[in-house]
Amino acid sequence: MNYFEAKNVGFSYGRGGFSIKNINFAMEPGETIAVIGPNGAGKSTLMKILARLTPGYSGEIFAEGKNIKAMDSAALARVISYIPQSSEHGFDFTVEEIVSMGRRPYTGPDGKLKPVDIAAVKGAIEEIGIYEKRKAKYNELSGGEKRMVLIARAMAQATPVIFMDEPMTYLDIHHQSMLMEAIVKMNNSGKSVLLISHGINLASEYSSRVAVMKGGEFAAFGTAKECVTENIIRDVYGFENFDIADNPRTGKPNVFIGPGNNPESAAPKIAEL
Amino acid sequence: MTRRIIFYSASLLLILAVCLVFSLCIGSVPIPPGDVIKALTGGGNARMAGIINEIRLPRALFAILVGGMLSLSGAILQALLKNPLVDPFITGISSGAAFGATCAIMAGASGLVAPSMAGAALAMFIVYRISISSKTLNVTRLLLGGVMMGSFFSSLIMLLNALFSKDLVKVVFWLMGDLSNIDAGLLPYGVAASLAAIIAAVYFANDLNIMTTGEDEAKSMGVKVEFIKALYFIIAGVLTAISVALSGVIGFVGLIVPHVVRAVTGPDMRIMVPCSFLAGALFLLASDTIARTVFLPSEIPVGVITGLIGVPVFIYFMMKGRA
Repeated sequence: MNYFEAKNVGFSYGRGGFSIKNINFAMEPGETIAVIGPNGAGKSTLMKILARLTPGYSGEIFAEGKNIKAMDSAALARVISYIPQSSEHGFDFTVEEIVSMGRRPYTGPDGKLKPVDIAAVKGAIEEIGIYEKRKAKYNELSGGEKRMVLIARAMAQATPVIFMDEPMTYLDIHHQSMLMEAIVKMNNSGKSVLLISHGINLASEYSSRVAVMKGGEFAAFGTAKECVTENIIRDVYGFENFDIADNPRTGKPNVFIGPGNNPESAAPKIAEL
Repeated sequence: MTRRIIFYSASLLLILAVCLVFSLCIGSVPIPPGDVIKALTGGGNARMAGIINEIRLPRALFAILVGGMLSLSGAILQALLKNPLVDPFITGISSGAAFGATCAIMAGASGLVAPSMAGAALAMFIVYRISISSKTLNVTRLLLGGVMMGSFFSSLIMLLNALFSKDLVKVVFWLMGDLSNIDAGLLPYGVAASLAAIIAAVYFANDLNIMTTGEDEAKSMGVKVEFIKALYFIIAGVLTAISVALSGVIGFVGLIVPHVVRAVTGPDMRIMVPCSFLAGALFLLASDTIARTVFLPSEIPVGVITGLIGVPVFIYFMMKGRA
């Protein structure tokens, strides 16, 4: 059984507004699917629809074989966790308190942690390498550290499917590598990850399959070799001056961009300044 | 967690009990603490017992109740709107209550509780209704709608004052907040409403904690976001409406007390709910004791004292970087 499946999913922001169309895919246990595409392609909107955060979609979405429309909130939260692009908090919760919130689907509304919940929170904090920061206030952390806390929260939520919207934002190279290792570990333990990435090369390196979005649709969906091709990159991003070559260490295709790919937005003319 | 809730709540209860006895001691007739205890336990001098049980105790209990309700309402609204600068009156509910009370004063009615409750209910309904967008309660619209309705009702009150200025003083005093005209018969209803609000607010407090990190995130963690928003708006609204109906518009309690409590206990609403209630109770009891005793034989509206004490306390916490 697939953990997650989308069948002919569509969505529209009012008549004539931006729309998501014909989204069909299934995630195998233990795989990572990366959704790439330019800004405004509909990646974040799609992720919110798939996580049932945005209502009013067409088609059907299944989590562990059940239609998510019919699922209870807590039951759905035991299957899918969601890490947003950014999360700014008005109040000074500690790292430990934030990660503990991930146990909400198991504790009920009072949030009282049982030994199994405490162990899950501690395990997630240690796994993601933020043990020293557990008593620190979330709001006082750097952008990268905040991101790691949100990932620890999703790990404490212990779902078989994890959605990550731009997980690499704010991360330095060290944290990026920590995150990618965490994703590999998740995959090895059978969890499926759906992530949105602006980094084509990162998506190519670390995902089992890549979905390339353009104008609310999948322009391509398959392995990195199938999707990171000259034709697709030219069509989706509008690039002209670029090369694609395989990473000699991994064999995965990487895109190398030269100058002059955005002639319209290049150096403004003096008359326009 | 449970240990922290009990520690903070028990500490506040103890301080509140000491303040209550102290408050009952002082007034135009000073009464020693021993006599106060005797009067409370049904013994002692009949005259003293009369002053304590029929005059000072009901008023002190009202101060405790109203202070607790305003502070709890403020704590809830600050979390719900993810904005630490919100106070219960920003929802427009108090202005609705004030409008109801002003109408009643102008009409020469004796009881102000029912009309102000009606005004509060009307404001609450309108603000709630205009905050619904695409079947969800939009907290930004709630904030804007509350401010707008507050201004609208305030304009209506000014219009009534301009047209029928004979009762202006009475209206102004009511608007400043006053615990000197209380109806002890209403106390049990206020206590029942407060208890129900505290129990519901504590039970779902963790969901409110999660909501402060973002609605999408809360949904993804299994929180029934729309239910939680509606529940806490209603709890905060009812608490505000009752407190305003009982005692007028007493400012600063609902803004400052939750700030100070949060600085001490942290933002967890499971602790904030009981502690905000108790700290608000303590603050208003102390303020009212000052309001009725400092300028004896006359007294000043308690809203003046809450502002005079509350603002410096708030500035102190702000300067220390804890609010």
